[in-house]
Amino acid sequence: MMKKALLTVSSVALLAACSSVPGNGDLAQGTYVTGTTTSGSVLMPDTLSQDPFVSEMNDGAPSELVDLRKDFIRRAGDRVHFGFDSASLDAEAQESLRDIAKFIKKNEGRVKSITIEGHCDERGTREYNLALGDRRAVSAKKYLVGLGIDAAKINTISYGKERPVDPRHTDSAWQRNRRAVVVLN
Amino acid sequence: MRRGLLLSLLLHCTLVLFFVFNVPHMILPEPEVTYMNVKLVSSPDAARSPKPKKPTPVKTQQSAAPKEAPKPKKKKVEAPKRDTKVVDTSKSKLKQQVKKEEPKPTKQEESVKEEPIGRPPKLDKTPNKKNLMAEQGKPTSEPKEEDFLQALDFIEDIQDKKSAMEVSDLETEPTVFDETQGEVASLKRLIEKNWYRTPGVAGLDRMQVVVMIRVNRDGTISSMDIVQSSGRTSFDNSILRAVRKSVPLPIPEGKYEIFRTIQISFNR
Amino acid sequence: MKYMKKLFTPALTLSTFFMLSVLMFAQPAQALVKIRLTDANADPMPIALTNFSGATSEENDLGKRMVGLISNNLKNTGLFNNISERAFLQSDDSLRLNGPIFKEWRLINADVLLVGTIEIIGPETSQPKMRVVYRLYDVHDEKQLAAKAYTASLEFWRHIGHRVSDDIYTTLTGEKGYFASRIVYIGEDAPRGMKIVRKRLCVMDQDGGSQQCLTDGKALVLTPRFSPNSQTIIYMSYANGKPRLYLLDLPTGEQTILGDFEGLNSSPQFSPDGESVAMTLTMGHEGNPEVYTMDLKKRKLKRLTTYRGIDTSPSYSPDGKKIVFNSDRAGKPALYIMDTDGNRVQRLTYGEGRYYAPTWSPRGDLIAFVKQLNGKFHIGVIDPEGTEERLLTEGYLDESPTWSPNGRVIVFTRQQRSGDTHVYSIDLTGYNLRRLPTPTQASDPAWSPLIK
Repeated sequence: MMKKALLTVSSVALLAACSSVPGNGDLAQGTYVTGTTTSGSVLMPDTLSQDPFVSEMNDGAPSELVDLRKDFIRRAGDRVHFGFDSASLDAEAQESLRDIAKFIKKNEGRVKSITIEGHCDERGTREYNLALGDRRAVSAKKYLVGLGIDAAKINTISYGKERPVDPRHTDSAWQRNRRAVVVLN
Repeated sequence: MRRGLLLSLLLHCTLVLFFVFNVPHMILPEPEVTYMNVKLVSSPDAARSPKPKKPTPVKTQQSAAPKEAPKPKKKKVEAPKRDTKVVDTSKSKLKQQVKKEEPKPTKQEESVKEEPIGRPPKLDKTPNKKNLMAEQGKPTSEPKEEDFLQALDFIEDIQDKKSAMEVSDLETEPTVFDETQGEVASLKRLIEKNWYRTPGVAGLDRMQVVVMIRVNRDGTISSMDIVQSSGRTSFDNSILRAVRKSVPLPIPEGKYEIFRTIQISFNR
Repeated sequence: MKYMKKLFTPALTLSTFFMLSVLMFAQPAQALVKIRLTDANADPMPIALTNFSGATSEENDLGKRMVGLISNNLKNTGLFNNISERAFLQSDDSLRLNGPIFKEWRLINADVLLVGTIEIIGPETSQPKMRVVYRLYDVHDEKQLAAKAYTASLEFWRHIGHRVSDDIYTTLTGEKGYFASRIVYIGEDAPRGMKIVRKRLCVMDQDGGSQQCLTDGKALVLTPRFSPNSQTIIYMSYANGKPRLYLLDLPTGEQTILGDFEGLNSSPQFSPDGESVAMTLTMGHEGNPEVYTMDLKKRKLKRLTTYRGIDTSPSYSPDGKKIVFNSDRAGKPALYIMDTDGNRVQRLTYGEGRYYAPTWSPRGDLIAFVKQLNGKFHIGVIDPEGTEERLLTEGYLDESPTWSPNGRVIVFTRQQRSGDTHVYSIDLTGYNLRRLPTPTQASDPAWSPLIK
């Protein structure tokens, strides 16, 4: 009897612990602006809704291109996510890539070229993740080429685990960091 | 007829055996033997240390090894030679010694290996590659590093000669006392406590060392010989050091005759 | 016949008995105490290191610093217990005048004693030199174990200190030393106003001394490695927006690109003879990283692997005949060994979990690796036959193992769950875990060979 009660209590505690892992909902609240840590490769951004690498890239870019990129992110989304140690595209990723291809085709005159970055979570070694990031970027590229985007216009680059968009060390952060990001040039 | 012959032979043998085992007790009353649990390890091979099972394959790392000459070298314990020292007014006694030794490089004890140092790789761009000191290495009795590479030949040599040596050391087959005796076990523990062996040293499982010690009545060492070298001076030295550090060796009251000769061995 | 026997038997009995009794009386039974050593004292060995003395305060000061460096080196091995100077009975003056009085060193339980002198030659000249003489004594045997004299420019006092440390280490352990060596690593920091952590190529002495950063941090740099002569560092950089491999010549500071190969260029590693580089390239087969080697003189590339998944992290055996590498060809990352021509590929690891980043020991007897198992990362070692695997560390994220020049110590990157990242070292026995002193956070260490 007693044992059963204990078991229930502990499982409730377990559930509580699970739900306290910050999900996407927490991200916009800007709770990480501590600036004290240099964890991962990213200083804590104000809000994680903004990719620090995208904003860095936009620094000094012509305003026309910055506008195009912003429009691209708003309408098509600029990235797809992957499973652990995987470079294959699930249904959701394929759908995102179809939106991305649609946007690129529509704005063909304004998009000179595309760079696809492959990224990984931190749960692997540097060299393996550089290789895995390459596979992810190329996997997204091949899908876009299949949708009619000119292969000659697409560059790929792997950053391995060097540029995590979410610097935390949780499952949800790792999930967000396993990504291929499409950058318009 | 034939049975009679066999029977008488058997009887004779029994008689002989009876004398072999009992006569010494009757004639030579050795008190030590009576209260100690004598264990007779009669096989002559047992007195010798085990031979290596197979020639160990030459591994490159095995090469750091003996500065000792290939022959088993007697390592006698002597009283400290430097009894009186003349007070030297020059600024460095040690340097004096180094200089004095130059004409006599054979005396290993005082020799110093000269090593002019060139410039180690630098990261800045200052042009300084020609900074090698002109000073040449002076004659020295220290072995050059290349000598270490012949370590494994030395091992072979030592093993060939050691059995002869051991036999001459003990004219008859000795009565062996080992760690099953409490007093021997406590001596073993004392030496082991004083023994610092580099943990995880490469090739430890292939190392075999046998050291024979002659002990004085007061527990000091009268002689200590490496009968079988591990092929690594540092390893042999560590065992010799442990024994010397255990001096005076605790010789149980009235058992000097037993503890006068001690064999220390290591093998995995 | 009958008579013969009747006569013979008693005669035999009598003679045998007589002979035996004579033997018994003539030779009393000898005793031999046999001790077979098994266990040794597991504590570090007690050693006494006295300051190298000179005639001037400048010399004495340098002597003290040098012995401090030696003492730190030996202590960090975990094998030596440096007896505190305060416990010493014989004074420096007495040592200088009388030489070692071994009885006094035995009293404080020292096993060995280091004594030395230092002389600065031409202190008034523009290039003063020094002459260091040391002697290492066995305190119990009252015998000199090793002695050497070094002469060098004054500015190399640290190097001399490391050389003396190596001598002592070799004399006492029988293993080659590793103190006169350097470690290249990636220094990580975040100066004010930078959004992204700055990663710079840095080098230091193995003990954390002589710190120096070689790149400005504008470009992302990763995975540096030393050439076998310690004069060149090969590393990966995104300097021109693409991941490429660069060679940095240390004496001149000159940087050259290894080659502008299409796609990913990563995981560089020199061959033991320094004439080739193994690396990972994607070339015309993007999405399919493969192991290549390049002959540096002929500038000729050779592709070694052909599997369509990931093949990366090559590392040469010390004899230069084989390469161990990382591949996910069996469904999860594992380690494989092949000949340097790409033939005879054999799987090395079959264990649970995921294996990465193999590095062949300079001793040749072991391969270090990273293992991911049940949410933890380990640094482990395995013999090249794959018979015995041993895990040395466990952490949130331990990676990039690199061997000391003597194959005794492994240095690696440890990232804590907090994100804090530093370089640590561990002894091959799995003991003596230690963080290396670096001015910033640090990752991707690579150990140089012994510097002569």
